[in-house]
Amino acid sequence: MINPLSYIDALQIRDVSFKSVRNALKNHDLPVSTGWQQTVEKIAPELKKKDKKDACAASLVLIHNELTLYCDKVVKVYEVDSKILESLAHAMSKDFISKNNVYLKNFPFPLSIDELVKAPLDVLCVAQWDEKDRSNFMMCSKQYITEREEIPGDSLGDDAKKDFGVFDELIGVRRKPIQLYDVVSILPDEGVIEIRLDGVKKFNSDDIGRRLRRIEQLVSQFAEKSIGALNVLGSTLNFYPAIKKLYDANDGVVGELGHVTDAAGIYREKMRHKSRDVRTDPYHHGGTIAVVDLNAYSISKHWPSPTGNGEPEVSIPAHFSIASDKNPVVDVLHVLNCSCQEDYDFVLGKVL
Amino acid sequence: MKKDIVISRIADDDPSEPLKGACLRLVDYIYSHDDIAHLTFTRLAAIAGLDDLLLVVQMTQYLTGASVPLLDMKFELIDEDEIFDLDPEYLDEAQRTNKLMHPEKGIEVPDYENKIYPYFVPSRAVLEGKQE
Repeated sequence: MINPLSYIDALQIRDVSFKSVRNALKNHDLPVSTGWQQTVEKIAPELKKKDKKDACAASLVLIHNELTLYCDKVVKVYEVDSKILESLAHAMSKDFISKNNVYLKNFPFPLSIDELVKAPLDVLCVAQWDEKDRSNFMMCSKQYITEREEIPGDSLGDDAKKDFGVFDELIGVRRKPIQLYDVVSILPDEGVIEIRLDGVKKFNSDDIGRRLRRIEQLVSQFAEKSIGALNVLGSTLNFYPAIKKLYDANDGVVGELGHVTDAAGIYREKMRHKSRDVRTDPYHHGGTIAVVDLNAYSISKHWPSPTGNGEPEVSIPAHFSIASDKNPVVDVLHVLNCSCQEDYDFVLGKVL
Repeated sequence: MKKDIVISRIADDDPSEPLKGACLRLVDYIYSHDDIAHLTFTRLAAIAGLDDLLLVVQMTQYLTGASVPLLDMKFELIDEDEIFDLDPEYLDEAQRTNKLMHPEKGIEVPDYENKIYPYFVPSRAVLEGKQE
């Protein structure tokens, strides 16, 4: 029997946003504190109460799964015919999951660092998690991050002190593998496939892009081979028009905005705190009056969560060069700070 | 709290110059500008026309106190390029345990004393007074 607190430990090991975990726990009326360890200490007694332990354990599993599916993801959306999607989902259920792959042993928990070092670099489908209106295929892989840490002077031996004692600060560099949980989600009723990628706060867009292309390749090749559908991911949604739509809509809070002006200015505006809106900032407001029309190329906007806790956010990240493009296309967006499916669907509904 | 009440309380307390003049200049600024959400020590010094940091600190102590609650003092964690507003829950715990937990990461912030910065906002009483 798995200890339900293992699901919280797994989220911590994977460095899932603590703030989102905290919001998810609050949504389930579970106790929270300021840090991982302190929060676990508060939840542990709930798992010993006869009348609450089953509900608490079920909540922890659900929180783990929803955060794995929806928290802090890079998202790309493909329009696909609903009938093809039904056939594809059926075929993927039968044959897409890699048998005997290294991640199956611990899934949904991450591998130990030693096991992860030995794991192959490729992306592998590990499981299928179905929800009411969608089938989610869980894709695991690893990617290395580089960490820099100060080495305390007193940890050095005498020889090292002799060699390095002249320095005020010594920095150690460590390369560490991270297990990633990407998702291929098929929504036949909506007529879309979504690919949601992990690691948005850890890796740059090139690293994430490489993984995205590999997953696209796996899905396309599988669709062609299993149901004879060619170029199934050929039609992607363009989020560029949503930048203006999000800026103009009076709801929510615009926390960041990138825009260019006719006078050749390039501006990136950001508010210090979540509660403040770029659009009502006096500096920005005065500028919009002066330039008449705003030519925005990127935006981040958040709203109060429909579930009551947290501020799910969407970020359409683009370079200012997109504003000079004759056919501007932004085909990925970042969906951040979502604690559950409801948060995620709410945010995506604001964009689409 | 209306502007004239704030001014009369400062007049009653009668702090010595140049503190008194600095306080009155700051009161004037706060009541004549909307959308003030983040004032740093350096900004307060510029508004109040003070060069002496010690006087700026004295001014903020006076204007966040019970007699003339013009400002509220808040704290933010600046971690590289990211800024996190710190709820009282986090600050209370840091005072109690000498450890600050990172609001986003849920782990201890190393060397946190050098990453916490104070800032000031108009107090609730002032905001309510401006709306009346």
